[in-house]
Amino acid sequence: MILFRYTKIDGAEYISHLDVLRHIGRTFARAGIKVGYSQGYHPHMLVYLSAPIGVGMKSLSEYCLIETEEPLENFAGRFNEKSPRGLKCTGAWFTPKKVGVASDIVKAQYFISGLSDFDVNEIAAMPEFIIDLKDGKTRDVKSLIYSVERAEGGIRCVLGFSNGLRAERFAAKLKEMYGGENIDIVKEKALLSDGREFEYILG
Amino acid sequence: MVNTLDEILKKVEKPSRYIGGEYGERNLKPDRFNYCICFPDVYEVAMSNLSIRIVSEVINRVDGAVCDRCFAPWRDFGEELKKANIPLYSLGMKMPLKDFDMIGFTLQYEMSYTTILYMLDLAGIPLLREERGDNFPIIQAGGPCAVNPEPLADFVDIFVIGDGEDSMRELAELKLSCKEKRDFLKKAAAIQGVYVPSLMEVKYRDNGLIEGFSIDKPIKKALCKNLDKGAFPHNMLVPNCESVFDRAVIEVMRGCYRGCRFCQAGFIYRPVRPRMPDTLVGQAVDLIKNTGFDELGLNSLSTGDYPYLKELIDKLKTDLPSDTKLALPSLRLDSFDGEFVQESKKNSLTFAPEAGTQRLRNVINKDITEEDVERGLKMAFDMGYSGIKLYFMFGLPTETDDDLYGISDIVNKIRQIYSANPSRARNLRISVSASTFIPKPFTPFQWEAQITEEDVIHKSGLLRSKLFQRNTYLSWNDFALSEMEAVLARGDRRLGKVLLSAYKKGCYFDGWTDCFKPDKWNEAFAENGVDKRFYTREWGEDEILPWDFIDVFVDKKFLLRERKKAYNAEVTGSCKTGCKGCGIQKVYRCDV
Repeated sequence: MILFRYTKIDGAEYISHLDVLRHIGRTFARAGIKVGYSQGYHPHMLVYLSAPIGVGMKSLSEYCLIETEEPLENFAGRFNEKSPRGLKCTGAWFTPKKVGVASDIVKAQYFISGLSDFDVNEIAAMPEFIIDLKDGKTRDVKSLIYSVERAEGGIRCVLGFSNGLRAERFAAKLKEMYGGENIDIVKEKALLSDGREFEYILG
Repeated sequence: MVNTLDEILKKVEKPSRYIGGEYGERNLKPDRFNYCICFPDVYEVAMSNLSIRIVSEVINRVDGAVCDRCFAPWRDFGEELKKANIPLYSLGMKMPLKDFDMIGFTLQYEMSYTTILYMLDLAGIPLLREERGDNFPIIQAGGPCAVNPEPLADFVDIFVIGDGEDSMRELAELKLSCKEKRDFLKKAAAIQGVYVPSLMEVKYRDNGLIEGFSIDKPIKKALCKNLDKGAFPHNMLVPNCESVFDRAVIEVMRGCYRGCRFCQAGFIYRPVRPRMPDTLVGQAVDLIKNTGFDELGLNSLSTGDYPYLKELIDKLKTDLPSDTKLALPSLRLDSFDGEFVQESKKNSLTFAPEAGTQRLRNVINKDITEEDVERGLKMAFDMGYSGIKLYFMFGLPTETDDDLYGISDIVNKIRQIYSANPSRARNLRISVSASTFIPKPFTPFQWEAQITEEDVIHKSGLLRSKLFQRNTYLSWNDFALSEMEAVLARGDRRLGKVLLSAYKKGCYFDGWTDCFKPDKWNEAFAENGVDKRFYTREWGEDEILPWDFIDVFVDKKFLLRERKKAYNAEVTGSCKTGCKGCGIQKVYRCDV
């Protein structure tokens, strides 16, 4: 099996998760990368993607696991030559066993720009951080905000995935609290529970 | 604009419709002649359309010319563009539409006419041609509905009627050498297939009927005589989001041998021009290789009639990757051959008997018999199909209640055929789709009246009572929508003011049931003193019809003969059984 990391930028951030899956399958076909198929009445390509991110959010760190006998050598080159704009492979690894591209990525590092200036230490000092969910519901996600730091041109934060926390909801709350316009979010790293990047799951 | 556009894209549904940059997109740059092909419907529909790909290929092959594309943004994006004061832009170069030299709309469906106005409005281009000076692009239109261009005569500067392969190339070449608009329009009118509405006047009698046209000779449609050598793209854009027909497509032939009397395409696309298998295989191999699609559509009006079908399929199976599925979307019951559809998912098959009795099928010249139906369906069921979708029309000329009972007889017969083999695992599902007959220009039924709303209520009620049974689903289309389609299909240029009023009242995307506003349309007709029924009535055979100045090479006398035969329930049959003398033989040697 091959695990690879890919980007979702340069317009590709507006392509939905299901469409990305289609594009990746077609990229394999164009590049001549043979991928295994499931057995059964409706065979499908054995391709596993990391959990969907919001349409419009850029990412430098999406993951895809494929069942294949293809060599690892020049995998990224072959993929990138035939992939759509913005969906580009930035790393590939061989793995003898299936890894949880969806289940083992439990948090991520984001860069958020467009918010007005505020003291990032205020977030850590808050007893709770309430975000708005759908249907008027709210939820305290303070325990899932692992860090918030000031960075050049914006803030960098590490957020967990569970309990309804999504980077865009977090950013919307900050905008509501501190103001801002043209909010832009880039998912920089997908992380394991110990804080390392996901590919370290391979050892 | 970029920041604002990003903000908008984050708000709207399916933003990937509006970003361009699809895999396969050429690196377009403005050139000496900048043309934008526009499709007046949403991205997913537009990206499935073959004609705009052919036109793009034709224009981009002309030295000094570039072809970009633009599709109708859905309401949410359109509203946001207006609010942000961002003019509608092309998807490739992101260039405002108003900066192009020419904008071409494809007319695939009459109910898209107001969406053309919506796109022009979003682009900041005056809607009426008389209000557009030299500073705005030339507005052009083509496609099947352009055979009756008159309802759009107030808005469009230049129509191309017929095939675009040669005519669009000539138009682009002329525009490169002729900058001044009026001069260009005059010279363009000499190109076969080109109609310039500002150069023609229509005279009307006091009773509203047409007295005549101010041109000496009819406008002959453009005809690509050698389709095999005609421009056809060997690459296509892979849509950002799933399109209606998400597959590669080849056009195996243009035209149809059959001559079904209700079918406009069957007459206006004459003569039948099959492409040679080797040409098609070359196109198919390149398309699959360049796109990565795992499905190839073999498109035409009746693919089962393609004379080299077996040879083509054998070659495709050899030359395409083994997992490529072939889609044959236009199979007739009598040309259905299990061998051709073995690879498709054995789920549901669609057939179009069109009428419930043999008599009425004879009237419409749909020369399939009960035996054809039985043979085709038995073969399909034996292959594992357990769902059948049937298309019928109601309101056809000479139709009686018995013909509608015939639809339920067919459904019952299909159930009998299916249950004759008790080993079939699943219950048979039958969907019956009944649409209102719409008399269209250039068909033997062009003079016919369209049925009234009362008729529709009666006929659909009758069908409902007969087809109310388990696992049978009946659907029929809205009368108001069918009526509008008939009015626009058979309309004249007096409808221009109605279209404009309707658009100003919020009518666009009329082909989308939830967007269609019949009340607003009715207001638009009333305010402009135009009676819809004038266009849906039976027309006299000696009347001058609004499209009589267009020559699609099918003689009016032939259409009248066919009409008479229809009333006698006489079948003419397919061109394959011998030339029927429709008129096309005067300009093209049909190979039948």
